[in-house]
Amino acid sequence: MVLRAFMVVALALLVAACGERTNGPTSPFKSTDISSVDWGRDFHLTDHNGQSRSLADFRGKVVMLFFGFTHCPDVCPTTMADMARVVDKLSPNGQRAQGLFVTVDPERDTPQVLEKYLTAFHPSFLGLYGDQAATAALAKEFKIFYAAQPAGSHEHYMVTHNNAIFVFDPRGRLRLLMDADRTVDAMAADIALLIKE
Amino acid sequence: MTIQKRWFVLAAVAAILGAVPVLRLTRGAQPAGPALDLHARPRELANLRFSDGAGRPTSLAAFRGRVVLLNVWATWCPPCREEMPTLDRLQAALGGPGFEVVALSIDHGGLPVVRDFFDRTRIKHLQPYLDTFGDAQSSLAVAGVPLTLLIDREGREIARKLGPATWDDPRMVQLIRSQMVSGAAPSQPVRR
Repeated sequence: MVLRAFMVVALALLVAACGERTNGPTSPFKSTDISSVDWGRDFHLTDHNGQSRSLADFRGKVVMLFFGFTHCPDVCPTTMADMARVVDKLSPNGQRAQGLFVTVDPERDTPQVLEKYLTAFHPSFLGLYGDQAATAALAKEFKIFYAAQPAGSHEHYMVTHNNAIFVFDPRGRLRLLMDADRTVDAMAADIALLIKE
Repeated sequence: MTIQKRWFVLAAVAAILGAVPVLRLTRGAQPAGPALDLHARPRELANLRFSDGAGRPTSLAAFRGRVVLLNVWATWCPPCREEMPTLDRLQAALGGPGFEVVALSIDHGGLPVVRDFFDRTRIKHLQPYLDTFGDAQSSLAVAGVPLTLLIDREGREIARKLGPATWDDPRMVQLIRSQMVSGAAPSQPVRR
């Protein structure tokens, strides 16, 4: 490779047309119920402290998983800040919710960068990374599309970003999708329900 | 279409809309220019509560009668950090009884991290404000930061920008000056 790849990440979530939706008007959840989809089952990554992580490590906790990158060039999504407020709102059950951030830009989001970034939101949050192959495989598993552009393209640097959060119940099953319309109150209410299950 | 099917289609459309780029941006060498378009007419704004540098609760209502540039930001946001000196210079130039830059941080770490950032970057003219109650994030529908609102003397939103700008640009200063001297006095009824 002549130039170090300069990651320009385009994330697009393709959740439509995948599985049946179960939350009709009677659903207790405010977020989209995606319990019946057959994707998004697990991940195998390394956290910013160097520890290998998969979903099983968080049994007993509701996991909020977000895909992103720390080098927001112009506008930074407030998703992780929202997650931190959810954890605060759940107090004293906050420790039963785990915020996770998976970088889709592992070249620039080193463990040190991830640690600094994640702990700014909440001390319990973890940044996760894999190599490029693992990141690509995971993106596929979670129906995330992202693309890398070569270095030198930073003059017109297009970033598209999706704010959706994947939520797993304490037994490690993918349950909810919290999209851009979410409010912190609704998120906290849904997660409180999952904790109680 | 059955109700159920219709609901599914609606949900699918919503999901696709949710996947539409939230942030679609062009990166230039400098932060974006003063492109701040005024709304066609002022928009009512909820009375955001937040706290000041002494930890005291305050709100937008306390700024009634002054033009306010409300900047929602965080220390973990690189473009927010980059534009902060331009907000500091704007406050130095125009801050006073008729105008204030309200730099409202949504940092979870609170005042210490904001003060630390202000000290390190020699921000001298801005006061730290904190989104203690989460009002900025909930009422302003903040999907990203920096988010900046120009607020008139009656507490109404007259312009909004998502993303950084050079806030002490002469054209911006002129725009804010014009808002400080013109427009309806706070006591006058609004003409539609």
